Amino acid sequence: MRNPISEFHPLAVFLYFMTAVGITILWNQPVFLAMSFGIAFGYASALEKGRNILRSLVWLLPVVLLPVIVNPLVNHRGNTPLLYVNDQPITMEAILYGLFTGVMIAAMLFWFQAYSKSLDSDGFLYLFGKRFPSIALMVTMIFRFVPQFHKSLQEIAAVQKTLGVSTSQGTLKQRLQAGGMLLSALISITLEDSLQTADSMNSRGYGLPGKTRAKKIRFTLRDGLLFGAALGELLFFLLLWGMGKTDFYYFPALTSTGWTPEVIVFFAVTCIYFLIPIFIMIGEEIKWLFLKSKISRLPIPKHKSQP
Amino acid sequence: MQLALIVSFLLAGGACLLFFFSFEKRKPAVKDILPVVVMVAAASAGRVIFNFLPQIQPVTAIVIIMGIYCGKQTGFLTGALCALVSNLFLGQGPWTPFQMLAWGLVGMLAAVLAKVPPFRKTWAVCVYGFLASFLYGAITDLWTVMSMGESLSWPLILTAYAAAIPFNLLHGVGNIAFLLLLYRPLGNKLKRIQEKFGVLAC
Repeated sequence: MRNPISEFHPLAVFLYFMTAVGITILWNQPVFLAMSFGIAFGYASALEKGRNILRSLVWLLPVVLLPVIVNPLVNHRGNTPLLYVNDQPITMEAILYGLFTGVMIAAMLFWFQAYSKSLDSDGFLYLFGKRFPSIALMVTMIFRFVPQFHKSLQEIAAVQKTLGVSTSQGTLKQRLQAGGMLLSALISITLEDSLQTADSMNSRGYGLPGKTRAKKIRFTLRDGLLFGAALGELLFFLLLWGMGKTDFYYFPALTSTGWTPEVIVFFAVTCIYFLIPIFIMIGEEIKWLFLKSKISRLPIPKHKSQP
Repeated sequence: MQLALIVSFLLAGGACLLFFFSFEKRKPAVKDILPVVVMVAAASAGRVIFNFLPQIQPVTAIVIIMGIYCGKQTGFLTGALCALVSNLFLGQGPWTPFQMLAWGLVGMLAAVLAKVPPFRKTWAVCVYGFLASFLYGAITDLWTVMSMGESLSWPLILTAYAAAIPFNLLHGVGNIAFLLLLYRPLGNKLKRIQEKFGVLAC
């Protein structure tokens, strides 16, 4: 499915996801963690193809189960012992703590997965390019070198083939040696080429003021709204967190400060905040359906009918 | 309360940012950064290609070679960028800052050790490469350990690191193989461009 969040300003997207991840890590309340996990999983899955969702379920299992198993074995606090191993109690609290640690890690990983799908390398470079111009240039050029490697390698292979060096003929040893030679030539050539590129860049005025970007990135109203929502959500959480309203303890027994009105409000607000990308997705989908129905009502002569 | 996770995350990321700041402050010449770009591109491509083998990748070996031949700063830069860029392909996550710091330190330490001439012998570099996998593992596993929050204790840390030993061993063996293959040839190429173009001297 298309990801409308990726069309927002990189700064707003970055803050949105960092806020979501930050709150997920800091608030260890079970109901909240389950909610964060559910929405992050749904969102990340909506951006993936069917097979990749299954694959992410496969690595999800050890991530959640490992803390459930390891935690009770090393942590013996808690009031409710279930059984004793080597005279050490295995407590229910430790198992639950392990379980929700696993849920927290999984939720965080899904938020990061959605983040990777929402902020491409161009947006990432935009965020850090101003403060770190050399690093941003390097990352950009690294991306550019990968296709160049491929092209140079084909050229070198074509030349070497006329000399009888080929990775597709001969014994295994000869082929491995040929591969090594090709790689060695590739690195020599790209290293020296890169220094020529450096000369060329300098003579064209690299590093002089007045540089512009190929892609215009503007901070519009909707970017401001998303940015404001992320900032507000973060401040709201830090306020409650600082006052200790969000405290939740697993040891010695599961205790919380309870569902006070402010926690209920914050929980609801966070739920809406986490669902923002899904709302936008659904909104765009409805808009598209609406536009499509308009198009179909236009008197356009029909093309070849579909079988 | 997962404060430990956030703090360690910020510390690792902060260390890398601090290094990037100091690097930018020196206003590096284009000539000095382009060979690094080539090596990082090669290492990252190698990591993506070898992704089907667990823990086996050429990044650590290339970072060590860059550290030895081009100095502390270039060693750290190569390591940090390799982690950042290859994760743009393989997926960013909470592990990115830890990997950046770990590979950066591996490269930096290689440069420090290379000040002592006997260390530049191939067998010594291979021994370092093997041990470097444990340094790398110790730093990158921090985020897994820190995410255990309140259960954080010495037995837990020992269990986690003991569980990581097989992975580190695989990584170490891969390092030795890549170093045997790349150390001399790549080193000679780097020496050549240093002499021919007068760049990247340490």
